[in-house]
Amino acid sequence: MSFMQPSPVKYACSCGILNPINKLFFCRHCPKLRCGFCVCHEIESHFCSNCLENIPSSEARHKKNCCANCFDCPCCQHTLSARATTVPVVRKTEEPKEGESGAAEVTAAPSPKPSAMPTTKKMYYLSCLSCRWTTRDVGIPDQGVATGTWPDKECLYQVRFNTLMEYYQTVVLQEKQEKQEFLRRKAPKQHKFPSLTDRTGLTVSLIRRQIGWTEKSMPKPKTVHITSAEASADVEPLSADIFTQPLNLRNITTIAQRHSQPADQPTAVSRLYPQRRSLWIKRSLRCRQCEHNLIKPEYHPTSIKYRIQLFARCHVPEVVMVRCEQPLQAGQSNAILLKFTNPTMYDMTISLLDAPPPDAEVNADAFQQACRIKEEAITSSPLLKSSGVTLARQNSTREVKREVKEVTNATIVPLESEFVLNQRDDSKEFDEDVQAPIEEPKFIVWRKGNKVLLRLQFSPAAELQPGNNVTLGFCMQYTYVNTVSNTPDKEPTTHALYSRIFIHAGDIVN
Amino acid sequence: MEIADTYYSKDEYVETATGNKVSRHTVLCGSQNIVLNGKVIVQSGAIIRGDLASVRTGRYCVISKKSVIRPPYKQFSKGIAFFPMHIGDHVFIGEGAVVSAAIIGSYVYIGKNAIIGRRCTLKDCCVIEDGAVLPPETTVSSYMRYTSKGTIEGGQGNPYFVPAAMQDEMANYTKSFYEHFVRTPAPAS
Repeated sequence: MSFMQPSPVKYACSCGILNPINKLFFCRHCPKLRCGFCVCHEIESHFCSNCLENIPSSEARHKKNCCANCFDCPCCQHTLSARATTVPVVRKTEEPKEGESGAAEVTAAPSPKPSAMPTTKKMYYLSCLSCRWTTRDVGIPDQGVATGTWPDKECLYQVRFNTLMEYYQTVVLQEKQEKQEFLRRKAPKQHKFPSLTDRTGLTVSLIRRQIGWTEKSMPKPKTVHITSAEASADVEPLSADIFTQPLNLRNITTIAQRHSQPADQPTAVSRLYPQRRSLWIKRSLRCRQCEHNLIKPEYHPTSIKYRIQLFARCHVPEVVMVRCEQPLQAGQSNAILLKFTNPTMYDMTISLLDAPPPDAEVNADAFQQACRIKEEAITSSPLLKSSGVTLARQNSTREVKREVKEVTNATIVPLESEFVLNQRDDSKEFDEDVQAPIEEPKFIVWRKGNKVLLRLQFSPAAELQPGNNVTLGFCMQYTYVNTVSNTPDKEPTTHALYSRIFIHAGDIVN
Repeated sequence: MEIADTYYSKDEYVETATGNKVSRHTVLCGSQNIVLNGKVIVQSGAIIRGDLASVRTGRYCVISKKSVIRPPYKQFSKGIAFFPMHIGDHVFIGEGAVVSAAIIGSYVYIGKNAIIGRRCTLKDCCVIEDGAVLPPETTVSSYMRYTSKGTIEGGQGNPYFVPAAMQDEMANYTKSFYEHFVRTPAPAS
């Protein structure tokens, strides 16, 4: 098996999508499995993936989400690297002397002195090591410093964009002020006796005027006038030589090249220009139900650690398929060997069922209730309701129950009893194997530390054809000890959780 | 899925005191410059060019069949110079890969037949897909995946390209690879 191959064991996420366990997260507060679709993706930090520099979000916005130092090749979109060349430079140290006496100049010129020897200077150009494009190809002069001095190509419509942006910013500001003003007038004052003048703020402005102060109104945003864009039907006529000149496709840019340079979208290769490399982000993931973080990476771009990490594989027993005992044949009973691993610090009791328990939702209800109360506390405050403004993040995403699409085509023989999966103990790895033989259920093949290999009997459906994939599904019920809890006494609580697991056992053989 | 056992014959592989398992059918040039830091598997047909510059690997690395580890060089005006190559812990180098990177971090997966150009930097927890070709001096930062199409995807916290728990996954994978790389049992006589 390769690391990159898809895992045959899939877990059903709480939203009903099947995922291997390494793509799933476990929300301890809900407590449920979450996949990439049922979490909020948020930007944690910006960084440049080439120079690995962390860039604060305000600076990133200012720099239009581009790195200040790194450039992409306009030809193949790979990163450009600076190359150094030595250019001969004639040092002019003798100049003031030469100006004094004209006779000396004539004699000095034909016999160069050692001080006037050409010295070298380092100059830099950018080169793509993937497609061999260089800045010299398009006539950009070499620079004396490797980074920072490369000129930006000014966009043709930059002035227009700036005025448009300015205009819309004032529009936003104005709307905001109007809304605030509206709210101020509308909001009922907590006075015993209602007063008419208070509603308009008339008295305040009257008094201010009598004292001789200026009006206490917000500074009116200055209005920016923009000229509306006009459509024109004037199109440059095609030049006649387009029909006569042979087309050299090597000089024409590709679609990808044009899109990577959106400001001018050049058609000729000679007008390609190095593009600033766009920044990358680190994401933090947040449960959409309870708004707790599932993943929060550290800021630093080179750090691989997490401040919060709730991977499913650290909380949910991991099921690994080892092998089937016999070649798969339709209708014939077979057995599959599965390895269960307990990743938590508490013992787990596991039972395998062939259908989800009907009361499985009840256990999680208390948590759901707590989440709902918190949510309602935010949304039901009267002021916010009246204004229609929600301060909280939009939490309108109700959990959509989706039926698990996977259909099983094998029947399993449920295990006759439940079994205990021991807690994880990293020091066990170095211990000698001195486990007292204990009475094990018959289906357990071996047990080592927090791992159990068990034998599960199943039979593929009789109507399967050779070559069909055999999928067996079961419901794993396990006890989970939650160390975070909403109960006032900070005692860890134990839940009986379940997850549905589907295993692609292989193909039916002839 | 559990890794199937890979068997090797006792005659083919040399096992060192620190647990390195090195095939005899490899080309290890300049072996005094090659440091394998323990529990490293070097499979048959691999070439490590320690004669050019020193090569140092961490623990639990897998250097698969027919892969080439070649220290990077840089061209100067007066000729070229080779630079030492560092490989971190829990690094998997796939079959037929040609690696000329300057630094490979820990928990890195390099796919089959990938070509890593000279002086590339592969940071911790990155993935190079099978058959990807990295031009020289490329940086692949953490939790990024370099695809065979030549694009970089992913990023930390993006669950679709590199698993978020890449560190644990690679540690598990290389450890179980080592544990399942076992000597052929002697025939019962």
